[in-house]
Amino acid sequence: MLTPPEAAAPRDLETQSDDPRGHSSAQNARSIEGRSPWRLALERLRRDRLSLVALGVILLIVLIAIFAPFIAKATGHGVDTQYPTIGLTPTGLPRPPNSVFPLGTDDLGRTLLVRIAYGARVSLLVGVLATLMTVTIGAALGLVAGYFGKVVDTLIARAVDVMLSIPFLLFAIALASVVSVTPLHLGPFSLSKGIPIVVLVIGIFSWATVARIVRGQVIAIRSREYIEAARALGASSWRIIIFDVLPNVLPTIIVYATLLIPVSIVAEAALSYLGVGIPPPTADWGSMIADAQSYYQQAWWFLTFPSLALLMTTLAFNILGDGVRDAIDPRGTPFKS
Amino acid sequence: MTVPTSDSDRDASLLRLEDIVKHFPVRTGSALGRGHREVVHAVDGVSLAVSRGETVGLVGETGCGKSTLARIALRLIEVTKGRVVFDGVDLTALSARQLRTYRREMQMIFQDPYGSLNPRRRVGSIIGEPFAVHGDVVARSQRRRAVQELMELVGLNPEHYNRFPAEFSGGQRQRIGVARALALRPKLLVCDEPVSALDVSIQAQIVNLLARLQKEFQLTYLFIAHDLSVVRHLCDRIAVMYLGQLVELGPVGELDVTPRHPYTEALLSAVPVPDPDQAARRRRIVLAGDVPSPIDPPSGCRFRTRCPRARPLCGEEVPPLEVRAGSGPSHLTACHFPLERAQARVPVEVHPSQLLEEGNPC
Amino acid sequence: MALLEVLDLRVRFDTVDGSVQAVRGVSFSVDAGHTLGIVGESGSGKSVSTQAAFGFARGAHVSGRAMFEGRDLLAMSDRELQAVRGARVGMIFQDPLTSLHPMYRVGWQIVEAIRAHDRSITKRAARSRAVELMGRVGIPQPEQRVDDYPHQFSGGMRQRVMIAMAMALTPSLLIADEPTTALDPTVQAQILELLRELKDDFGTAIIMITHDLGVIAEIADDVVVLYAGKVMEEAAVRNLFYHYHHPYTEGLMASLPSAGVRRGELVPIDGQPPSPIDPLSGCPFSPRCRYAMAECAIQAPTLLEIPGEPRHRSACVLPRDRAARQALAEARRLPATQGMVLDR
Repeated sequence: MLTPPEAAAPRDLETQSDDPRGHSSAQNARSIEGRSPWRLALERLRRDRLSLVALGVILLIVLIAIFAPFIAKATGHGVDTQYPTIGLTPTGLPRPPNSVFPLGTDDLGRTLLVRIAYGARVSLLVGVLATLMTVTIGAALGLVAGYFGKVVDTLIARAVDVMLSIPFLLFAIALASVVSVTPLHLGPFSLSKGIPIVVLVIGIFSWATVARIVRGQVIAIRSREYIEAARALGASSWRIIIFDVLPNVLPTIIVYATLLIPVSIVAEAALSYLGVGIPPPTADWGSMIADAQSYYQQAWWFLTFPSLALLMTTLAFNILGDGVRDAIDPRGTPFKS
Repeated sequence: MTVPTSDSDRDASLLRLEDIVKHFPVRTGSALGRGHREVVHAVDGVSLAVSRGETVGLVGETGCGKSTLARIALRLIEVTKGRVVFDGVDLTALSARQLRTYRREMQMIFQDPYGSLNPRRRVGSIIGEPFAVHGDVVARSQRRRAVQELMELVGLNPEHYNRFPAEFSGGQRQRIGVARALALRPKLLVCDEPVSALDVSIQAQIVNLLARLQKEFQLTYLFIAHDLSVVRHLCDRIAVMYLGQLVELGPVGELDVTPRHPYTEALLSAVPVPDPDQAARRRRIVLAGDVPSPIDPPSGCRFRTRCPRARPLCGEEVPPLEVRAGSGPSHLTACHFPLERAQARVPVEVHPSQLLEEGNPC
Repeated sequence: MALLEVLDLRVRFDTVDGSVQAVRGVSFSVDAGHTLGIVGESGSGKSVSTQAAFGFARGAHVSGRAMFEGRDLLAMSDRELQAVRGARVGMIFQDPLTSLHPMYRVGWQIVEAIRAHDRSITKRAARSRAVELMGRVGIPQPEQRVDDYPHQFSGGMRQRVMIAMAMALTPSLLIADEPTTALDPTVQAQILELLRELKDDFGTAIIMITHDLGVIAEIADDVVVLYAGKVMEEAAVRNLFYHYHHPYTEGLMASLPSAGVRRGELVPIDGQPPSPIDPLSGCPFSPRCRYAMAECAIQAPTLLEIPGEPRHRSACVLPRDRAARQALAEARRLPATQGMVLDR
């Protein structure tokens, strides 16, 4: 077919499009300090209004999580304190939003505002920790598999296949319920129900995808000439992995991590919703949603506000993740028409 | 160039490739079929010696094995068979640890100025990497200075120490690659098509730079290219490869003027001449067909399937690479029926810019 | 009358990092049956200008006129352009793999190219035409190879398939965008030979876009030299090689390695080409030009005729008449200026 090649947009410009500022800045020695790819990405991100809004929302949620005790103090309501008289209707139902409880109360007469604020702590903590764990395991295994290839690669690739074929929820529920009966002993740590086990479960189940993505990238990078140049210099494999390979997969890892945070938050909420996540009475969005479902006809706020908090958080992280990807790899969308 | 000619105590050649063979295993066959293993004969019995201070051009088309051979010379790829003797030491027999010290003495310049520099490292750190790997060469406190001196040497602004590769043009990036290769003051530089990816006006800058550096540091070059135009300009001797074997080896001024191997002749005549009158006049040899697969190379002479002069003998016997009657003493040809000198005369292109020097009337 | 006449073509791309001026006012024309060489280095806008003229530069802001067979391509609807492309204009690119669909047999693709413009041709007839074309472009055993997939062809053979497809409807113009750059020298020679034959047999005009002056010398009748999105010089091929006027052309010629020039004696053009993002003031080549005068940096020279040489125009303020050029060259005694004085 006489369709033009994918890059019907100018081949001549291709070298420019990935570093359109290259020539200009190399020529007029304006700034001697180099503009790192990171800084360029940051500058692009700064021009992306939607991502900035998302970032603002995330910062707000972080602030709320940090200052949850102050919110509790300001309202005068404790997070786990039940207010059977003022917090519940005479028939024992949650109270709608009012001047005392701005977001209403739950089925035990606890204040939703403070509980949602405390819930943000759990969500963010689990989201970030689980992502860190996922990414560390995944990236490490992906780097090793991709760079060394051969037997190492085969072993890791099979492990990835196995991990990806285990149903997450079934396994998580099973593990969590086992652990809640007999705590898991890992060296000096003993894990029972709670944040650590949730982080562990999510981390164990998500690294495989990261490993697979990183491995693919590393295989592509391994054949680049700068790797060959490093080998010709006599650099050791580990030196090459750390100084030459890792910095080039890091953008992918970062993008993936930003998109993984909301997934982990949702996973935590799902586990808690199913009663195998964060045990009560800890305030948690997932378990709040679970508790609220029997009351959604009588108390809309009980279901709505925790759900909104969860939705806003995951949406903000997803939008930011997209923005980060575009900023780091503008070639994905080279020309705005 | 000072080439030690009759130094009996030391071997005159800095690099000696002895009967190098490299076979890559590949799997072929359909998903249903059993998929049998086959080997790509990337390099098949190549011997080549490079003297100190000499520049040898290694020329051939895609898949002829020239890049593989270059990487074997630096032991970036392991040989299947054969020896790589560098400065009297057999590199193929060294352990990885022993090899590291020899890495200082031989470096490589790459083809792709975009692919050969890590885009996420600053130029200073790229050029300084050799010092970081071989920590005893330059003291840590002196490294920045050393790097900036290197930058100056290759024609880069030392103030751009903190820049990233993306902030340089193709030619400047190639200079960065040259600076990195020179950092450890190597004896041998393997240049893998260092100017093929550059624009003509920039090509000349890099070619001149390489020539200047050779003079300054008594470097020995193994210079790889896919055609003869740049090689002819920069090299002392040229080696022509076809399908994993050397077909012709000889000094510049002889091999490129009176080639004896039909493939060399075809390669010479294939390169478009930047002179319309010449282009209209000259005899072009257009080879038929494609290069055969290196998985199953032709028997006898590997060029015979495309050779206009092939006869039955060519399919039966591998022609040895040797001095043919009528050639100079260092001009070797692997052909049963080498071209006669008169017959082989490839029209020498004369560039308009040379006419004045040669005393043409203005 | 010119087959294609491009007038004051400007192409701009808006990227995330700024506006890229790829083509900054380029005019050229191709006569029927002639070969126009467009030569330039990376970023000169040589590929973009023809792509933009035929509506291939997606996301570009294009202005100017491109009169092809009497109609302005830039004023056409997509549907009209589609009818012109393929039928009246064939295109081949540096990498045929990007233009051939990997999942379809090449014969099928040629048949579709033919039938896309004329449904009255039966599949059987189109297929036999495909076989004939493949044979014509030098693919051995076309009856069998017509059912092969693109990956089963070598680089050179793939380029031949592309040429067969481009020539399927005997277009009046063939645009060849660096068609031999990715090929080995001996294969490049084959393809150039083929293009020369096709031009003679079919009377097709060719626009050969290349960075290689050797290819230009081999195949072009007329040449346009582009730099930073502007025309520096245009001339018949012999005039360009033997009587070039523009210092950039001179620089290109002097940078070429050739037999007999000894090591370290090439004359490169110093410096780097300007960024396509920065606005230009004056002559774009002036920062690298050995003859540059103060005025060059301020006012961009216009493309003016060289007296006594029809169709030879140069965008440089250096003297244009033969005697003055000779005097200038002698006065400077610079080895790279013989182009100006050489007279054959």
